[in-house]
Amino acid sequence: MTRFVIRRVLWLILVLLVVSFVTFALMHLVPGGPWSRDKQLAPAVVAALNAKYGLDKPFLVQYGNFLVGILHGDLGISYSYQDRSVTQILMQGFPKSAILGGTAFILAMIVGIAFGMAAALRQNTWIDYVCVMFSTIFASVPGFVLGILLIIVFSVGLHWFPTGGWGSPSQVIMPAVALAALPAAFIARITRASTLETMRQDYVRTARSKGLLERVVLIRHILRNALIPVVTVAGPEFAALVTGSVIVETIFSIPGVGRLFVEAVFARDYGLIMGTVLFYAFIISFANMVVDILYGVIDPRIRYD
Amino acid sequence: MPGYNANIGTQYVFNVTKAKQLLAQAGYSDVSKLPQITFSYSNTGSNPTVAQFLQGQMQQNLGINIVLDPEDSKTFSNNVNTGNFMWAFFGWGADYPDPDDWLPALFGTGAGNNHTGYSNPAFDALSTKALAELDNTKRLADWDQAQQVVMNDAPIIGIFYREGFVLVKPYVKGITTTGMDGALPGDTFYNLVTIASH
Amino acid sequence: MAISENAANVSVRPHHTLWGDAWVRLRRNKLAMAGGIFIILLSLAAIFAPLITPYSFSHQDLTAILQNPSAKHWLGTDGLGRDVFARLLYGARTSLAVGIFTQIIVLGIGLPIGAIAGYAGGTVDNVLMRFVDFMYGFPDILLIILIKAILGGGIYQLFFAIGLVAWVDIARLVRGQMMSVKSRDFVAAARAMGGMGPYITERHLLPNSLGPIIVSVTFNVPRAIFTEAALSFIGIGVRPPTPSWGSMISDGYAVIFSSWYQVFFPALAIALLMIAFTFLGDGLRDALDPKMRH
Repeated sequence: MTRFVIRRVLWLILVLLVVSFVTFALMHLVPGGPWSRDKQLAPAVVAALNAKYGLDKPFLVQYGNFLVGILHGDLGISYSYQDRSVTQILMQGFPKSAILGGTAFILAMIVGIAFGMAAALRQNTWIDYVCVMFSTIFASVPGFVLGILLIIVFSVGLHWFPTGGWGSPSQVIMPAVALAALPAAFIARITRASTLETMRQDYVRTARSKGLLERVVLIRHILRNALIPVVTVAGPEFAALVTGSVIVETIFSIPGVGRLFVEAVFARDYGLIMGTVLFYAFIISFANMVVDILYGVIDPRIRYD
Repeated sequence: MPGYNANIGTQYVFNVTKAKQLLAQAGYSDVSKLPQITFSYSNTGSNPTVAQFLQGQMQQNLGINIVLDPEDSKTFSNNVNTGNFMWAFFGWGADYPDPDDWLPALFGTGAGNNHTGYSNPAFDALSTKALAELDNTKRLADWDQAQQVVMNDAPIIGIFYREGFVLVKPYVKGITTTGMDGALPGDTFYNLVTIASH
Repeated sequence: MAISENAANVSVRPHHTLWGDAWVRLRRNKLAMAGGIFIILLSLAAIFAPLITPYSFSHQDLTAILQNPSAKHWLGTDGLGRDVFARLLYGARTSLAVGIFTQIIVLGIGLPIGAIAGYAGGTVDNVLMRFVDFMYGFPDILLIILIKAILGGGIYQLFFAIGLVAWVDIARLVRGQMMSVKSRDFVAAARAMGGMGPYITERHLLPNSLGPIIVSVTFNVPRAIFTEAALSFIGIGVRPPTPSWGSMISDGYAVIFSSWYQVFFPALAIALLMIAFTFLGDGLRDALDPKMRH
């Protein structure tokens, strides 16, 4: 078992190394740099800036310095926000992405599970058909398009919510709904399929034939077992939601990690780009690793691959 | 803005016939013989609208199809600074309100922000003279002439100046807007602003 | 003589093929049919756009900017006086072209990689799959900006860039198929008869995985369409004057309070097209699933 976990952790580190190296390489290949601007800086100034930030050293040396910094927990400095370190910037942006993602996650789980179960328990009634149709619809419309339609209807049309920004609860609702729609639909489908599957199991029939109340059967037997697959996708979904949806944050002007990343790319803010990519890659890979390990715990066959 | 002369630049007005004449003079009465013209710009703010407007005008008035090349802002800056463009959309904001900061940097031979590669000894001479001149009236007259030289050569085509609109609450007193304001209007002289009770 | 005698005794079983069955089942799925019909209608409208609207997508009428929908301009005009309905129709061409042509790249890269990984197994497979993992964690935007900067901003380069970040799912799928095909008896038999990798791929792998590949492609098309819209929205998509629903949205966003229809119709168009493809994809997947024979 320990060997299994160690192997997964090693893969995690390897993936992070490769992602960071390729990102680093790409970053330096893309034309323009942090000092490029229309009103050109004098060459002497550019040279001095590069020397100060170590950008004049050879490529591999720079990458090496970056790795050494990581080992000390230092993600580097930002070239756009020169008064703060990357870690500080991420610490400011992450809570916003996390709150948004977390709210979306809770919303998605509640709505998804509720509708999925309702559809399964009332299979082939209108509730089922409506649920399947809506879950397909919302599983296909991306958050960015949904966000825009929501803004048009609820901000521009009804004036119920502000179009964006961050700070008050009313600004969380629309982006959270836009983000939650797709996962909710996805979770609803899984829940429905899994509940139908569970309901067909023998132990459910046994429980019913024992004379247990339907409600007890539902809670004690069906619910717990039907939710296993849902719990397994919850991990990666949560990671994906929390690392911030770039486009939704852009539309709603939310200063979260996703938007910071896009702005950093457009500003060639090397420090912030590397820090954010590593941060993202870590969270996503970590979530996948945890799920892998959980699978290994649940299903011993997988450990011996 | 010192040095502002409303008459300079008035020689250029919207005149499609004249434009076609000039094209014919250059040997392109048949515009399909023109090489492909690429217009580069940084894909931010209102630039895409300006660029598409330009494209529409060229197409509808002269029948010339220019190719638009939107680039992200850093790539664009890089290309402009290395001269890697055919026709580009550029902007200029002075660091201080004086022709000193508008003309030599953009049009002087070999100047740092002279991306067009423009070089006219007549302009350089006037420029040197004006920079050294101590008498203000004479100085501004020199700059006038220098500007006219540039306008006649037309290395650039001025399209518009940005305007800013300020909405001020009645209880905010003392806002002084200048041409040098940065991101917020009146920020050059914020220390003069007072807020009355309301 | 023997045959005619037996003919009466032989019960005739209707001729079933996988594709025939699939088509019958697909036809019964109303949502999938609705999706398919919508896609076909939209494609026809896009192709015959010049016959449907007298306006060009790029003609600027500067005396008529930001007009509300009217009899003259069915969906109004945008900030440069261009007819929104015309731009919507021609924009469909862009979206459909992107959706379809990126699949060529996706299949061109994903199929070989997946097949090789699945067939070779072992370290080759491991390395390739780690590469796939890495692609998941990778910032697509950087790659796309780089490709555009190096190769230029044309629409073919955009197909290439989007395809380059989207081949991963097909590779995984093909690998899985290859691995399951590889272990089947008829492959061992083929090998015993002297058949090599390419032969097995062509004769056994492809026909068996054609179904799942078709389904995967049907789901990839809307994703590519969405990627193009998102890229155009943040400014690194198609070049003007090529109309794109994504750039229509970003153009119109600034005036969303006064002219909401600028943003509404392209957003609705994207949503409907993606929903249609998803309904169709779901239907195809159910129809081609051999376990669900009636």
